[in-house]
Amino acid sequence: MSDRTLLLVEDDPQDELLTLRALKSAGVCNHIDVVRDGQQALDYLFCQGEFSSRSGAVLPAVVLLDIGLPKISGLDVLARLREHPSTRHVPVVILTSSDEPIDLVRSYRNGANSFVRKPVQFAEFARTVARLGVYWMATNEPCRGA
Amino acid sequence: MNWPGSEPPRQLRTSTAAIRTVAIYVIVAIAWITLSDLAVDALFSDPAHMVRANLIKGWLFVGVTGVLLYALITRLVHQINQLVHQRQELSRRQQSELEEKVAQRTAELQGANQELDSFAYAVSHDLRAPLRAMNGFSEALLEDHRAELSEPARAHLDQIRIASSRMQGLIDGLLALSRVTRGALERSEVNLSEIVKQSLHVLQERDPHRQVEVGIEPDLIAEGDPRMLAAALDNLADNAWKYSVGAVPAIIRFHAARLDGEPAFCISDNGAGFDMRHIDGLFKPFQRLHRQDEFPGLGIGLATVQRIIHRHGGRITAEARPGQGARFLFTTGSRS
Repeated sequence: MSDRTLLLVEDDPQDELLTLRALKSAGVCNHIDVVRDGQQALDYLFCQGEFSSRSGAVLPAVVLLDIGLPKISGLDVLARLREHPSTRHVPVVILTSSDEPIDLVRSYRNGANSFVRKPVQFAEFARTVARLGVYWMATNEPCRGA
Repeated sequence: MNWPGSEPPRQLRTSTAAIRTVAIYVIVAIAWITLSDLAVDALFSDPAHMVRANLIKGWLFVGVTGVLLYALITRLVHQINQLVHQRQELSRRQQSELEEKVAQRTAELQGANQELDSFAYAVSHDLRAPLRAMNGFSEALLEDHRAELSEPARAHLDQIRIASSRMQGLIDGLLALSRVTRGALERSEVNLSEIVKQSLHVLQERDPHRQVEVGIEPDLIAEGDPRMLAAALDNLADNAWKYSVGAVPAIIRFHAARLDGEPAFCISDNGAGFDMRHIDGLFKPFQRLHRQDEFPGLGIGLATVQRIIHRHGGRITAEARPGQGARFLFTTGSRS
């Protein structure tokens, strides 16, 4: 099990519960932080605002980022992460209900590491999220000291 | 319709106006000749003076009628010019009003289309999340509390999951319907026969035990958007495959045909068909002509096909009889 954190950015409380359930049953992450809008996500990752006490903390091993977020959209959050040197290399997986080609293109253009559609059927959803957890928390080697 | 500027000229019948003018002229001329002759006779006795007076009154007559004629023609020409001007003004104004109206309607239509697109987009995102929750939590209930749940309770949960997966299908279909006809239509030569062949091939692979006799007229080419036409033919082939399941042997054909004298394409099957009394609902979204327990489906396929054909400027019709199959005839706006 990884000691590192997974950051889930999700505004839908039920999707949050289901994602957490799937991640826990996959048993790959010890520590999951959840933020619920785009501004919170930026505050968390840049250690500012309500998260200023996180200052100096390591970045999450992966950010699971929804697109349709309140305040700042997931795509804008992603663009700002890629602009800033400290967050340029943090792995970001877009996890969304959208299957619009335009969202896919924009996600990669803004620097997403992966684009995953949330399946509506829970069994498939659970499998997908579990695979994501295993890959990004256990298999993938993040960029250190960037 | 208001005439701009002055009062409209009074309408006169051409013959009345002309006869009246000529009559006045004749009367005045006769009166002038008669009276002036009498006056000359009365005033002058010297023949030389009389000749001179007659000459002067002749010139006077010519001069006065000339001036009157000039005034009359000038007035007429002025009136005609005024009419022409008014007419031009009117058509110019109508033209610009028309252009304005067209521009306004186009903008409204574009706005409505954009709204529809963003509506479909919102539907795709916002309807899926609660659906996932319904599906997910009934699944979670089964996983965590299977032992505590009675058999009927588990069956009810299954119904919830079946309903959510059906609703997912509806959402996907609705999105496909809105997406397939979005964007610009780019025409190129499309081999419809190949598309139908490929679709039926995929269906056969998915359903290897089905025995279907397929007859495809080779290399039927249409001018159209390849992506859209492929989506339309996929749907039609899908239907032919689905509804011919009960026929032995099932026969599906694709060939050239005519639709009201226009070159057209025809895909036919010898399957379940439908009652022509219900044809009005055939191409409407979510309207189905078969019950779910007869042939399951969403009722979006033919609506999609019709939208695609209409975007091409083509037409689509269907002929069918219950138990004897259906024929779908369509044009694509242009064909080589």
